[in-house]
Amino acid sequence: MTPAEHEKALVTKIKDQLDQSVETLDPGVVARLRSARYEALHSQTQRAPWLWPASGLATACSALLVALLWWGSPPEQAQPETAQIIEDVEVLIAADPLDLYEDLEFYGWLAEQENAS
Amino acid sequence: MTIGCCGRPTTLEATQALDHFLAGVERRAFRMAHLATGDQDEALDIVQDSMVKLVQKYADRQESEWGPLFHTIVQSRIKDWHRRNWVRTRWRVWFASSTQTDESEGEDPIQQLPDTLAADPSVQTERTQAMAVLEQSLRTLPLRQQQAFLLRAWEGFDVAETAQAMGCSEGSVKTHYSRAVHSLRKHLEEFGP
Repeated sequence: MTPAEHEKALVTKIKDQLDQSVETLDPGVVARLRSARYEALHSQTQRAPWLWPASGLATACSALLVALLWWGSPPEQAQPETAQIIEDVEVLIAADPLDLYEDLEFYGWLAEQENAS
Repeated sequence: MTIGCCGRPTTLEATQALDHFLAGVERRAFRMAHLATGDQDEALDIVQDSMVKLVQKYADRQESEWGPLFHTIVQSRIKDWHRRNWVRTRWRVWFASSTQTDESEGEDPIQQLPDTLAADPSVQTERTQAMAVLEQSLRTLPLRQQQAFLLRAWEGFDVAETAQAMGCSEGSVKTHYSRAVHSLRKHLEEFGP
């Protein structure tokens, strides 16, 4: 068996095992996935108005947490740099922006697809 | 016809098509997220968030685009989870080092955190030995190798689609995939039944 054939056989075996694992998923997980799907489809026509001020609240929490960490910790302890603290807090509370930062290339591709169609 | 949240027309047929698409990918997406996070609830959250985003932002796209779009969202969510988890771990370590006495100095704090990648014993008993070994092998892969392998080998994406979903170059995909296959072969030959 050539290396390429050996690799193909290995990948096929793994794929079959993964397929089998999907078919034997726990019924509770399957039910939760179904429920998640219905909720997602329902969200197409409804959006909770109370979620709108969430980003403002997140920003306020970010500022408060940074202030607490900066002024509230013991002076003798080694502290992370301020810029790192801010970045960490943003990562922890951000709802979506990581997509934007990390997938700029993807959004560019989407725009190209849009222009092409 | 009704009007959706973004002024987009939604029809029963379009909703049924989306439902059919999501029903076809949700289990594999869950398994990918579960392998990446080692946590069932986190994996379900990732899949649900991805579904919501696809429905709200890209429902009006061609059906042929839904697959690459959905997996791009899922992989992005997984990357977000890993980054947040890494930051949380770093902060836990920092807070712990601020409050602990000197007696714990020298220990690796990360070793003291719960191992979220450990398999659930109740689930483990239901799996075959081969599946357990395979899961362990996949979980030991670095995230990018795991993503490249699962998208290429399991989801059937080509190199370009995988690169798009992972947000990296095609060359990186080839490298990650090749290393993943090499590691899996070695691990499975060593520990496989």
